[in-house]
Amino acid sequence: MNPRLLRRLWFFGTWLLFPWPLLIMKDAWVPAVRYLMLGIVAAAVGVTEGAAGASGLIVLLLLGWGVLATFLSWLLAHAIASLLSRFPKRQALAATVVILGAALIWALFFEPYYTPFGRAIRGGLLQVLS
Amino acid sequence: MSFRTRYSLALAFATQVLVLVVSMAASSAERESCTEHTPLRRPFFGDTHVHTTFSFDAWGQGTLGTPSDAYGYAKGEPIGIQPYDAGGNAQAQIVLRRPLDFAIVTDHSELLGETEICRNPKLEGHGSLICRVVRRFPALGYALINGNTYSSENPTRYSFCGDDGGHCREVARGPWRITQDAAEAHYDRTSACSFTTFVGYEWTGMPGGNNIHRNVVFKSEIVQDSPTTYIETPTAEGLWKALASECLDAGNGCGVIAIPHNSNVSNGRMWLTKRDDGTPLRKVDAELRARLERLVEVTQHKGDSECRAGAEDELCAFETLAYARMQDMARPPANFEPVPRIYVREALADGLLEKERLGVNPFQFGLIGSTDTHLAAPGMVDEDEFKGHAAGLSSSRFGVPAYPDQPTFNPGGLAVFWAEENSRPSLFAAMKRREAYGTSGPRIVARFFGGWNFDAEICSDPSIWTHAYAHGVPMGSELDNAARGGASAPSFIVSALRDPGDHGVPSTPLQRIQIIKGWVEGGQTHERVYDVSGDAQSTADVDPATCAPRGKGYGELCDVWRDPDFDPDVSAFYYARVVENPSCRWSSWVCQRARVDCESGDIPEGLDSCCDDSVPKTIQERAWTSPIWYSPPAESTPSQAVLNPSVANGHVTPAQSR
Repeated sequence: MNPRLLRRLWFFGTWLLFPWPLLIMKDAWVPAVRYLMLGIVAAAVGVTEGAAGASGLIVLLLLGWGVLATFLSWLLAHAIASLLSRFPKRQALAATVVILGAALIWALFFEPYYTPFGRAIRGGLLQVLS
Repeated sequence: MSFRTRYSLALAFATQVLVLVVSMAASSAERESCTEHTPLRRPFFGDTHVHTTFSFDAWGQGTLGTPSDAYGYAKGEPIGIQPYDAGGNAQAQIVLRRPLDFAIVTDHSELLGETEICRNPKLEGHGSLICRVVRRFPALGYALINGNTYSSENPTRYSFCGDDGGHCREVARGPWRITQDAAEAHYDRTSACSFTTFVGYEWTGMPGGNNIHRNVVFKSEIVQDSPTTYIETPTAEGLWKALASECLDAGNGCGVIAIPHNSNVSNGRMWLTKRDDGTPLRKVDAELRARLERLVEVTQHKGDSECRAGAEDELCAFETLAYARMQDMARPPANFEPVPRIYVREALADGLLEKERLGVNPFQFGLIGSTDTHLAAPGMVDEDEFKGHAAGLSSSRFGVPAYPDQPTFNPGGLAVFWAEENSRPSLFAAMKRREAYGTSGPRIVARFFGGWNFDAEICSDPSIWTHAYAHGVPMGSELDNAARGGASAPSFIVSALRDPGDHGVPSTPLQRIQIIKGWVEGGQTHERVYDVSGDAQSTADVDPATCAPRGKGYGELCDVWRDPDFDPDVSAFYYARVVENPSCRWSSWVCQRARVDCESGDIPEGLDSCCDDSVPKTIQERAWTSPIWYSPPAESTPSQAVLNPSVANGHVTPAQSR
């Protein structure tokens, strides 16, 4: 398997599935994609409805943290892909499929995320993306 | 002057008189006389700070309780709280073990319309992006709207409110009407006088994230057409002017007071001695403020605001927060040093300075407590049954969590008014004359009188209160210099009865009574704490593991105290603090009931704070009376002598004279 493709697979997987904490808020563990999504929604509110006071800071915080979490996801993916590149390609691919598949199932059918900005305290991937 | 002009003026005058007569008749005559009328007054317990589903932040936390529900709860009726099922049925229920005598719903005046629009699909603006965000991502919507409205120096309304915000202001009339109707429906106008309500709202000023909130309470059903909001009127000075022009000076019988709260998170902006334009307060400004701000909420859910914790008065370390700005709630500073002028005692002392400068004390207020509940649950103050107040960052949207509130928050307190009967006129008059006090929750009965010739034997005199009113002044008053005669110093009667603990509520004995004196000398403010009754060396405490009390205390205390350091040329204030023996804090009750064993390391989810040593395990519940002020006679000049600061700030000088 192409090492670049392996890295991209891992990056997409961690970006979509790996829970990152929101440091200023207790009990917030959601994937980078969620922070970006919330940041975009908050920014859209500012553009369409107007924003004053601390609401601009909230947009910056969410978008900034989303970008940082995306970067951390990329670093994580890079490290994992480098580790796997020591193994034969077939085994690396198998390990990738098994681990990411298991993580996807875990994220879909369990409630691994703490979602302080959602409609429930805990949620699975579908709740996080909705 | 033409006939037409004279006719118009006469018609306008006649109309004003008619409105006045009708409104006064409506406000005073439409109730029966109370069967129980006590000329020497009784204490009535209540809550002046209550939020319901009409407050955006309460609704955002899942609160659906209406003003009517809140009043029902205060009267002892069970109400449902979040979480709610898909059909809107409450999954949990709460009931107040001891009903209150009065309650005041004070929803945030800001966002009344926005909240209604975001939840009512029939209203224009319901489909706006911000309303969609509020419904889909409640906490994000909460943060955005709070950020947009409350933390701004120049708050604005969202575009769905129309160019001038008119749509939202118009919609806000609905909840405002419902609030008034609920107050009317629950006010007992029969001779039983069992329960009293007042119409009110909260003006929620928070420039730059600094809390300068005020609760506005109306004397009767005659109120402003629309509540004043921080959005249209973004300064406290603006609020006072609006209350004066739209109520006090409207000529329709309207009466109102404003009650500041949470100066502890005002970052020093609650007690400014400057006007909006930065110039010093003028006499006319101080008079308006003193006319409106008769009381201050010294304690509530989001912390105690009495005084600065430190070696000078160790009892100030009571439910204080480790930050001075409301907006630091989410992330308190690492090394917090309280900024000046965030505590009520400091303001009381500054008021003496202002009076020397202006001739009027703008900070001459009585002390009360209340809850600031956002769960529509007035009076939910019992430590052993606390369900959280759904405010700040503590979400109860999904149900009351295992640890029901922020560890640093507390159940809040109660307001107590000494009045002849439980009716609006009687209770409002008590508020105006500041014959009121606050408690941190328990129903301690506290009395405090100042005079010139009280002696110690009066505590055993059956006619003590007749004598006290005849020869002295109650809490909230100024000492009468004309009655001084040859007395060398004022004397004070201070008395307290322990909370009887009826209806299954735990009750704790009293430990002691203290008198706190503040004064101004040489342009400096000073304070001193005197133990005047009870046992300051008491070793009675509580077992935090079981909440069982250990040791003895007092069921009642009464003493007469004469100020041993009185200087007739020096302005001063005096108030009493009644302190109970230690008892379990709400957090200890929660952890004990959940059988949390910190040693085992097996801590149930959400109860980490049970094993956090920075969270106090016990508290000393208390009551604070309103102050009694002393001003030197007009011909006397203030002394320029400066006391040795170490003496002036010294702590606990046992009473020299009783």
